[in-house]
Amino acid sequence: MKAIRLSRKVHKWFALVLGIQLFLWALSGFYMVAVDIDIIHGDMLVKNMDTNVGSYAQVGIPLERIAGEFPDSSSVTLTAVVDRPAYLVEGPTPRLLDANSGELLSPINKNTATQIATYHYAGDGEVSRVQLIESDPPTELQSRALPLWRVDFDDVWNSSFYVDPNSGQFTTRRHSLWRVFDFLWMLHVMDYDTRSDINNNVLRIFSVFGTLLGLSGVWLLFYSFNRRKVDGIAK
Amino acid sequence: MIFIRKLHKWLTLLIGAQLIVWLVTGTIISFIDQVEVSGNETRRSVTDQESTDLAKVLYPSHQLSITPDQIDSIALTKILQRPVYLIGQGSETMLFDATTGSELRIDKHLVEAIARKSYRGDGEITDSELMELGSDEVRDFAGPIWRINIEDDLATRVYVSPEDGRVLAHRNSRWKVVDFLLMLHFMDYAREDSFNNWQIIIVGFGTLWIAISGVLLVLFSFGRSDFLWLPGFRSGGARVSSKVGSENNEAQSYNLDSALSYYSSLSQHGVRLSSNCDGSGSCGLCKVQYTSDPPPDTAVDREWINTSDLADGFRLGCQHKPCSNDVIVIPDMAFQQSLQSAVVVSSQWLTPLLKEISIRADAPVQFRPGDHLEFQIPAFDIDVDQLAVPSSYVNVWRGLGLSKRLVHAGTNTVARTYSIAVAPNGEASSDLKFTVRFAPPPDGLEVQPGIGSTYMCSLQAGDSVTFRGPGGDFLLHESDREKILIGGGAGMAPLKSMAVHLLSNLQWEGKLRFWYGARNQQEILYRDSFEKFAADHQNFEWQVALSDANDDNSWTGKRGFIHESIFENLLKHHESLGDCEFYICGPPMMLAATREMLSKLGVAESLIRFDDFGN
Repeated sequence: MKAIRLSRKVHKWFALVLGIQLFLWALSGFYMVAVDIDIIHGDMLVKNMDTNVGSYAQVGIPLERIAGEFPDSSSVTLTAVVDRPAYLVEGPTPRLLDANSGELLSPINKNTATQIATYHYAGDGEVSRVQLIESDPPTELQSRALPLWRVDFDDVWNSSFYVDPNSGQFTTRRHSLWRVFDFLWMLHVMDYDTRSDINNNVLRIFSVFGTLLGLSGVWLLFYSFNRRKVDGIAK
Repeated sequence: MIFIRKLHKWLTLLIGAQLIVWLVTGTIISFIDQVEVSGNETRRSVTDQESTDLAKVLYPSHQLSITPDQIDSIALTKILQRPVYLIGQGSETMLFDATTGSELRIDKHLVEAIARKSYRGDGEITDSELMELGSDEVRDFAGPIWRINIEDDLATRVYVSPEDGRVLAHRNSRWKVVDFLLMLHFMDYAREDSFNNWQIIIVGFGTLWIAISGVLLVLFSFGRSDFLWLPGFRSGGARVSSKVGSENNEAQSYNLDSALSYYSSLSQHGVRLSSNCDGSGSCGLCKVQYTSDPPPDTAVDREWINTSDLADGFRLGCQHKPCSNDVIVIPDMAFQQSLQSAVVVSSQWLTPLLKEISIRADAPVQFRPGDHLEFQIPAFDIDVDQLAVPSSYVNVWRGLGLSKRLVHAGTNTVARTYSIAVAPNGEASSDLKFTVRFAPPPDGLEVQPGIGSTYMCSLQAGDSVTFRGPGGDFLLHESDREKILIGGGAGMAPLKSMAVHLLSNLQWEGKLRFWYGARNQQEILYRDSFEKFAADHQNFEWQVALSDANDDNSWTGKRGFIHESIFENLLKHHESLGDCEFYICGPPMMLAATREMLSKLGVAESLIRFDDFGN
C-alpha cells in the first residue's frame, strides 16, 4: 500500500512545480487546434490575391527590355500593382516599374501603399494609420526584411497589412487571432525570446519532467481504478 | 473537490494515452536539432546573384513559339546561370531558353545539376527518379516530382519540380522521424498536414479540463503540513495570546501559533479538541465558542452549526486561527489530559457491517444520553480474520475487495469518537456499549478502510482500550415537547441512549417517536427491544423504513428512505409541528437529506439537534 501513497506524492509535487506549464501547454494547444489555421492566417481578411494582369499582349513594354536596363538583376517578373501591370525586378534591391510606361514606381509612397493594402482588404474597417517601419520592427514581423509599410484597419480584428515599399508586394497581414496564436505559441515552445527555437533547454527540461509527471499520473491512475481483490476473508 | 478529482481521474483514464503521446513526442522533438531536420545545414540558394548578366542577348519574348496573347504570366529567371523565360498558360507552366528561344525540358541531367547546386554537403548523388504520383515527403506539391538521392549521413534527398526546375524541398532521415512524431503530436493520421482535425479538438478540449482541474487540485492538495521540511515553516507563525477556558476550567492565556488553526495550535499545548477528521473540516466535532467578536463564519462552519449557535459565537476550531485577545470557551473534555482505560467485555456483529462492542471502564463514567467517548486508536496491523466475521456474512465481505492485512502505520495515536449506546444507569456506570459500522473504502479512492472502525471492529473480549470523555453537545432538551428521533445505521447509538433514558429512567410521559432507517431487515438494530418498548409504552412510537428491500416480501412495514418516509407518513400531516423537537443521527447523506427536509417544512433550527458519526 506504500506505492499508492508514493505515486500520489510524486504526482502532486511534480504538479506543484510543473503544473502551470502543463496548463499552458493544454491551453495554448487547445487554442491552436481549435481555431482553424486559415483563420489565423487571416484568409477572411484578404481578396484579389491572384495576380491577374490579363494578356501579355496588352502589356506595353516587353519583359526583356526591362531586364536590359537592370543588368544586376536576378529575375524579372510580370506582376500587378492594384490592377495595373508592373515589372518586379529582383536583385540587390528590388525595383518596381510600370509595365506600360517603364516608369520607376518604387519605392512606393504612403498613398500607393494604402491603395495596395485597401485593394487586398476584404474586411469592413477603415484605414486608421499608415506608417513606414524602417527600424525596431514589431515582434509580429518576425525576421522579415525592412523597410515595410504598415497599414492598420480599425476593424474588430485590429488588422495590420504590410506592404514592401521596394517591390510593392503585399507582404503579410496580422490580426488579433494571429497575435494571440503567436503569443500562445511562444508559451507552448517556451522560447520567450525569438519564439522560434524549439530546441531550447527550458523546453527540454520541462518536457522531460512533464513526461515524468504524466507517467506518475498513469501510475496513480492504475491504483485509482485497480482495487486489489483478496479472497479468503474469514473462512 | 470530489467532483474535480473525479473529473480529473476519469478524463485522464479516457484520454491519458494521448497525453502521454503528446508529452513523449514533444520531448523527443525538442531534443532533435531543428537545423538538421530542415536540411538547411547542407542546403544553399541556387540563384546566383552575379555570375550571369540577364541583359545579354535575350531572345525577344514576343517571338517565342507561344504568342503573347496566350501568355497569362511571365518571368525572366535563371536555371543554373542560364536565363529562361518561365511562362504560365492556364495551369500549365513552360520554360524557354531566353537566349535561343527554344523550349526547355527539365530532364534527369538538369535536375541532378540543380540538386548538386542546391546541396553543399559532402555527399554524392546516387540516383534520381521522377515520381509520377508525387512524394509523401512533399505533400503540399501535387503531381509528378523529381527526387534526387544523396549519399550522406542523413540520407538527404532533394525534391525538384519538373515544371520549372524549382527546388521544392530537402528532406533527410531526421526529417522523417520528426514528420512521424508530428503526425502523432497533431493526431494527423490522415496526413493532411493539419492540426485542426476534429479528433485533436475533442481530445484537446478534454485535456484543457484535465489541466484546469489539475491546477485546482494542486491548489487544494497542499497544506502547511506539506512544507514543514522547509526551515522557515517549522517555527510557525507569530505567537498570539488567547484566553481559553471551559465550563469547569477557568479561562487562562495561551501563547498560540497564529499560523495554525485553533484545533492545531491548542493541541501543541495538550489541549485537544475532539475530531474524527484530524481538523480537515469534515466531522464538525471541534466546536469552540467565542465569547465576543467571533470571526466571520465559513461555509464549513455553516455546514455543521445552526444559525442560532453561529449567532452565539460557535465556530469550528479547525476553521479559525487564533487572534490576540480572543476569549473562547471549549468543551471540558478538551482539557482532559489523562486517559481512562477499559476492558472489552464482548463484541458481536449485529449486521454484516455493524458491530456492537461492550466495554467495562476501570472507573465509572458519568454521562448524559447522547454523549460520546473519544477512543485512542493506536497504530495497528490487523489480519482480516481478526474481525471475526461470521460465515453468514462472508459473502458481503468478499464484495468489499479488502486486502488481507489492514494496516494503520502512523506514528501518532489518533482519536475517534463513538456515541454511547446505553442509557445512564444511576449516577455513573461502568458498563458501556457502542455500535461501530465498519467503513469500507469509498469507491477505491482510499485503499484502507476507516482506521477507527477497523480498530474498533477488531477488538475482542479481554482487549484493553483507552479513551477520553465523555463529551458532546447532542443532548435532550428539558421540555415537555413531543420528541422525534430520526436515525439511520450506526446512528442508532445516541438515540437509543436517549429513548431508553426517557422511557425507563425518567418514566417520561410525553410523546416520543423513533423513526429508524435501514437497508433491509437484517440491518434493523435492536429490533426486539424497541418493539417491546413500543408495546409496553403507549407514548412511544417505533417505526422502521427499509430502503433496499424491494424483493423482500416478508416485510410489511414502510419502505423508502427514512427522511421521505417520515415526511410522507407523519410530518406532512402533523398538526403541531412547531411544538416538536428533532434529534437526528446517521450517515452523512441521510443527515443532510433529513435536515434539508426539516428546513423545507419550516422547523425552527433551535428545535433540531443532530450528530454525525463521522466517517
